[in-house]
Amino acid sequence: MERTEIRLAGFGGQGVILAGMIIGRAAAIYENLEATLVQSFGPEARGGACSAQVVISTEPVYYPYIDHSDMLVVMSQEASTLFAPRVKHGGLILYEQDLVAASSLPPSIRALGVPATRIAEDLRRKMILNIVMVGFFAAVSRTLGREAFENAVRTMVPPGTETLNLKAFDQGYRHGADLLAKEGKT
Amino acid sequence: MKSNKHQLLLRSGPISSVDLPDGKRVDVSWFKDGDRKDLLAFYRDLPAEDRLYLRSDVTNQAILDRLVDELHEGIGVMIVCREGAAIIGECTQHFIHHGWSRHVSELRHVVRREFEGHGLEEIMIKEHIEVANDLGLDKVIVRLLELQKEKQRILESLGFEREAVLRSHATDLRGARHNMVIMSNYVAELWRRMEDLMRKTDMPAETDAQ
Repeated sequence: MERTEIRLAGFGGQGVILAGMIIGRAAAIYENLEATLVQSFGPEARGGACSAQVVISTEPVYYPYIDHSDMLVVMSQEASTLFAPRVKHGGLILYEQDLVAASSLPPSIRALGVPATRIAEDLRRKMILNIVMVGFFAAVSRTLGREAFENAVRTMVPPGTETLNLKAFDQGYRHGADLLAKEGKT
Repeated sequence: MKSNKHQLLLRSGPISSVDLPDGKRVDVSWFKDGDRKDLLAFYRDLPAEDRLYLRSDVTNQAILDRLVDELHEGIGVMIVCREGAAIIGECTQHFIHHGWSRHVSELRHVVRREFEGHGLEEIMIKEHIEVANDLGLDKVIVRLLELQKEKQRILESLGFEREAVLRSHATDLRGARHNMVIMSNYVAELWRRMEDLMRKTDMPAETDAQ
């Protein structure tokens, strides 16, 4: 795998960093790739915003920072406004469609939305919208195998919450797979 | 109880399948009325010592029928494990709808000894924790003998904590007394831990300052 740069962004408390950690662990532990994660402490981290930079590669990652990302996983309008313009041409934006206005995204970048909050609410745990996003990312990014993500979710969340978190992952994954099927990219 | 809660309890269908090392496959699913006959055979095949763990003598058809009626009334929910045509394990969650402990449920699970150690208990207990979550219960308890160390280990891996020991509270078939352990899973607390984890990772400076 070539160096793949992923940025995750949203509000503090949405589990943005945990989502990044799950993606990084899926790559490093369960797919034997190299992965780094950097949490943003820059000016953009103020005001409740939160972001993580994840780099995945088959080669050692000597520089863990991202300028323009290959993929953006975004869970708030504020974060989208900040980071959507910093996605590479030919990149991909995955957004929470009830929290980010599709019309605000750069038209030149492929963007796919998921009602992660609603899915999480249907599972009676709104807080796990981040895990829904990870499932969605797993399905549409095609970076790693599904099992690697599931193993990472299972080992990163508190004991006793795995079943529901994996359901959330599955629902996000299904939504992504359905979208790809509609696009004829299965 | 015919309410939204009752609707939440109406669960059916398969949950999971487990392939055992010897090539056998075990299917885990929610109890259905058609399981009644096989359930009776399962209970009757259990070693007498294991049957003491159950709440009532379900080798008696009339008592088993009453248990199944209770399931239909929402007083409990049951998951069964099948290997081929035979039931080889079950896990039932009993609800206490009235009184001081109406926020608490109790689990009882039995798996035929030769099928232990393959994760069946874990699958069933995790599903029951989700049921408790959906119902808004705060706490799920399991009572077991203090000497049942392996069962305690499994429960601990699922978020249960040893909460109390009742001394000489159980009598085995030979008349010997045993300490009984109560293990509790504070279901709501589990999700507070998830929330804490997300807050700590997203906002380390803020949580450090607290």
